[in-house]
Amino acid sequence: MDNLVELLRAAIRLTTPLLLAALGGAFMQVSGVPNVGMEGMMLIASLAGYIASFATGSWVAGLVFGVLAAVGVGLVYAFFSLRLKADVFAIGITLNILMGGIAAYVIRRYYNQLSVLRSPDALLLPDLSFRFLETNPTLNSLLNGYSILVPISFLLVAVTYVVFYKTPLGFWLRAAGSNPLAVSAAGKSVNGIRLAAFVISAAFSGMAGVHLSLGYLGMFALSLVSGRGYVALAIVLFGGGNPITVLISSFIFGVADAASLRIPTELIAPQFPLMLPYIITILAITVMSRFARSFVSSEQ
Amino acid sequence: MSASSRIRRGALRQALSFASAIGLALVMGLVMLALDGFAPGDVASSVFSSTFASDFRFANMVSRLVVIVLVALAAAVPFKAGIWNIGGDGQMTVGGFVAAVVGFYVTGLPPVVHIGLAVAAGMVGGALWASIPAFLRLKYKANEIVTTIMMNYLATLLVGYLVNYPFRAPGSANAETSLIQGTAVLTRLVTLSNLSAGIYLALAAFLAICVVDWMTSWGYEWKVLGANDEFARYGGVRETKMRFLAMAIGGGLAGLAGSIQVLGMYYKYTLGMGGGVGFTGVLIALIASNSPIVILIVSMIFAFLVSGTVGLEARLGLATEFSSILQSVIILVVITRSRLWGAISALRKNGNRYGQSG
Amino acid sequence: MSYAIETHQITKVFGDTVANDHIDLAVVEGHIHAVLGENGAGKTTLMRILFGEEMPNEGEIKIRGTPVTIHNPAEALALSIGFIHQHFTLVNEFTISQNFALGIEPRRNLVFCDYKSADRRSKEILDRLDMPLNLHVPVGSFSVEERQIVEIGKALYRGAQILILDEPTSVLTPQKIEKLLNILRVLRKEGKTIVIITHKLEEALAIADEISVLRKGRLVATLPRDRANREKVVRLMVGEEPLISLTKGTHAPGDTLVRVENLFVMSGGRRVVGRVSLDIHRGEIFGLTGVGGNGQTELVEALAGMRPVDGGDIRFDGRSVVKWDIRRRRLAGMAYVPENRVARGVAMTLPILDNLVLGHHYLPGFHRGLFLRRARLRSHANDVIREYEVVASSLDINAGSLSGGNLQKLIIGREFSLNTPFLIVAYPSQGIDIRTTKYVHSELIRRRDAGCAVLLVSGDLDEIFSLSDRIGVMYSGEMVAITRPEDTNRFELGNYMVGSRTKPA
Repeated sequence: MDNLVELLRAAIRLTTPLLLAALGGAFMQVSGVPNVGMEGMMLIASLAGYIASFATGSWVAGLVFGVLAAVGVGLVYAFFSLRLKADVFAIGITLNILMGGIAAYVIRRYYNQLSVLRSPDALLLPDLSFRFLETNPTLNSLLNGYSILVPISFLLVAVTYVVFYKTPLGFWLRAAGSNPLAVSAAGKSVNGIRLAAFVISAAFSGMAGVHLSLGYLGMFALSLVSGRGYVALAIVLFGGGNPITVLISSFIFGVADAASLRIPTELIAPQFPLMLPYIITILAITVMSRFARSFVSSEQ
Repeated sequence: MSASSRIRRGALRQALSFASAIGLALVMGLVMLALDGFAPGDVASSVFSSTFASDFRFANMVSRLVVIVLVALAAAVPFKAGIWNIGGDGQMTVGGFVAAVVGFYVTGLPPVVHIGLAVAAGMVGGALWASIPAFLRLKYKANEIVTTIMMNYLATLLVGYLVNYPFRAPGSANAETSLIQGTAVLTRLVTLSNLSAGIYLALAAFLAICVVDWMTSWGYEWKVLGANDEFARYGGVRETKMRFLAMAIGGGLAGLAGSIQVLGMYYKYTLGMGGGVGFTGVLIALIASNSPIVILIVSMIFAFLVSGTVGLEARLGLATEFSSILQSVIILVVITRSRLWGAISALRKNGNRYGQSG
Repeated sequence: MSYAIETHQITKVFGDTVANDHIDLAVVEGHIHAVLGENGAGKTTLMRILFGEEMPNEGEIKIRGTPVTIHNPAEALALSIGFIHQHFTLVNEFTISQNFALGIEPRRNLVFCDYKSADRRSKEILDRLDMPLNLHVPVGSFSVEERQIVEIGKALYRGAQILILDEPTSVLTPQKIEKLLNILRVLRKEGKTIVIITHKLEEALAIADEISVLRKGRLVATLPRDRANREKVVRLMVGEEPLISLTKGTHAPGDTLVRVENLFVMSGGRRVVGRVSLDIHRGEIFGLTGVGGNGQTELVEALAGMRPVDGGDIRFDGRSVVKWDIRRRRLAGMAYVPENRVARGVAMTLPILDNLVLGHHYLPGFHRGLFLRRARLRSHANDVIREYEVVASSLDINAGSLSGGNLQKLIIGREFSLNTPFLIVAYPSQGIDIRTTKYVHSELIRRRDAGCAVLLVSGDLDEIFSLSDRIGVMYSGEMVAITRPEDTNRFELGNYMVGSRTKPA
């Protein structure tokens, strides 16, 4: 029983970065533009946030600067994709590579580190505990004491849901993705709506990135994101941007992630469980693409 | 002015625009470095000395070029036909590993045969690794950008397992395979450098791609598929078959790159050999996939950049990752250039707006 | 008499084509005004200008007597103009109210939407139109005519006093058309001004107070209903009897090469080709006509192998080819000049040479195994350029730099030089200058005289009459007439095209 709780806790923790990124990606996806740059946004945000945190001694600064860094990338991405009408996939991939280069450059040039940045002065994001939950031992161990972005990420699922389906912005986003002609015939600017989507999505990816470095790990590593940005892209592609689907898919990945770390190495070599998220991604995107209604092809 | 000279003028203009975009990006790079405290003079001299100053350094640069050209072709051949291949890294890993295995376990063959076998096996490995995402895309419409990237991670993990356990060199503390047989070695061309006879293989592959591109129906059909797939289909091009072929060949080229590294440089497979060069190949493909010659030229520039920044690290303490920053910036500048051109000429074509008549 | 819309010398040019040529339109307030014309007459362009989706090169617009400039749909909406597009601008996932209120969502407080008031208004509108539709399901689940009502309701919700409908009956079955016309009558009684773009004469006569006829970009006439009859209007639409442009001569047709049997093609849930049968003989030009959008395109695509068939058979020289892929059909002897030149007939970013090689490169003689015989292909391409008079300085410039007429000659050159027994030629003269058109026509006759079976699809009756040995008319996905040019006249064909008669002659 304890093991199960442990597993669930780990799963919930590991779900958060994917969930945040994918929720952000959903904003862009429903407006008709896939966010291929989440990998780079998450990476640069985790670095910027980490540095801001140990430089200022404030986790708030870390969160803010991380998000700002990601939004900066998002604006560049939007400029190329919306203004210059360049291929969304090409620019996204290029930006991801660029962010990888910038991150590596920064830690080598300014901190003389090879691939990992660690500082005792970095203040992690605080944990969140509710007193009323402490009375019930099971609930307490399941729901209490997570780093702050964890409960926020789940809360944001509800927020995203409400925004998509109950606010004007949500209607505009979904209309832009479903039938841009309807939007322009209604007198609104499709590009303006999509720009908002870029910014929001980048902010979410920024939070995801900050959680990776300041949530639990307390350090930055170049291998921190490890393809999760593309997994988030896959989740959004086959979910079509529905927040509930995103939640479920992200959680499945979180469980797979947590389980893979817990398989004893005597049973099976450590590489195989680590393969799980990637294999699941491939399977999921294959299966779902067969039935996808709003199929996003990589041809433009 | 005659037609052919007008065309040459046009091609020249394009080449100049390209060159100026790259030049602009390089200048931006120098400016960035200058702002960061590196005097441009130091940077320039350091770059040149680490690339051209000695045979050894020049050979290393050429050795880099070999790998870069191959992975660029690996991404460009499918891209030209309209299908993405971001999996160069993984295909290279699989190819290199297979070549190492064939290089070690097969004995008693004359060198030419052994090398041929190992290289062929490496290419097949890479091709197979690329075929999986290709199949999923062509049959099930699964987005190949995602699947090829996933396959990269899977390759690292799978080969990581194989190299750590079943194929680990006995008695070795590192994760690596046993040294290949002497008969599988690609001779080194310049002492102590990385450059091996693999360059001849790469050259052969490059020429083969040139031939296919210019002179065969495959090259033609890929070109048409990439330019307008509805037109291609209308004209009787078999889309699925040709795209699958392009992907498999791309994988084979990346596998070749990995095999050359193993057989010519390391003589075994060690984890982390590839170093992410697959993405450099993708960047090159994004702007150069129309012509193998352009790919070669851009690859030379990129090889120069990478080798240059290695020297910068040694002398000035500059991180080598600066080259991937520079590469990405170059791509963005080139894309911006061509996009601005496109936007301006589209405006001209679409006729006047109301403001004209007042 | 006050006018809701007046246009003065409106002109719109796209590249080489004059879509609207100094049009002076006057729409009486509170009336239903039909704008009639064939495809390419310029009707849709004019209406798009009124809705702000295009800007004219010259001319002025007055709405309710006030001169205005309409830069975008938002401004048109502000002027109480509503446009019901032929291809609906609805968000299929949204409900009726959500579609109605797109852009002006009603809010409960600063953040949240509240559709209660919107639902009430929507219900009101639907009741007025006598269409009780479910307000709580996505509009994608509605039938086509129901979605059209939603489109109309959307304009009403936004307070439109002037409603422009673009080919509203093209998506409706005959029964539903009457329902729509009744709705329009109700709206007229409410004082709305309605402009209806259509090619369907019967509906225009049934409902309009005034009828304007556009032909080739010009406003030919505006008639009040009591002075309009079928004969007069059709004549205005299709023009007088043609001057004899070409002696096509007679040619005795051979045996049947292509046979279409009971062909069915579905698209988007609709039957776009319904039980069509026809034969095309060697040495004959079969002219298929009809107003665009009545199934000709889909029929052609099914023949060419670009569209799957949902029923029936296609036989080529006795063999059933319905399951063959495009390469096989081409190798068996089919060539196809497509309607959509830029999207399908060429690759604009590739050189002329590459555009000429497609379809030839797998023919015996042009390749040796995998290797293309490039010298041969290039020399063939040069021959084609010369023979078909394509004006191009070199084979290596991009196809995108060619003018429309030259592009067409390139495509025709490529397809005709395949020397196939079966030729499909779709809308060859669309947007092409007269000289090139004449050239294309003489080429078609040449091919026919050489024994080819030619399927010519065109909306231009001049062309049809001067070239065809037999004529077929499609309307609403069916072949409503197959006849000979000597047995019919433009007026009768015009009737078939607008759905006046359904019995074959």
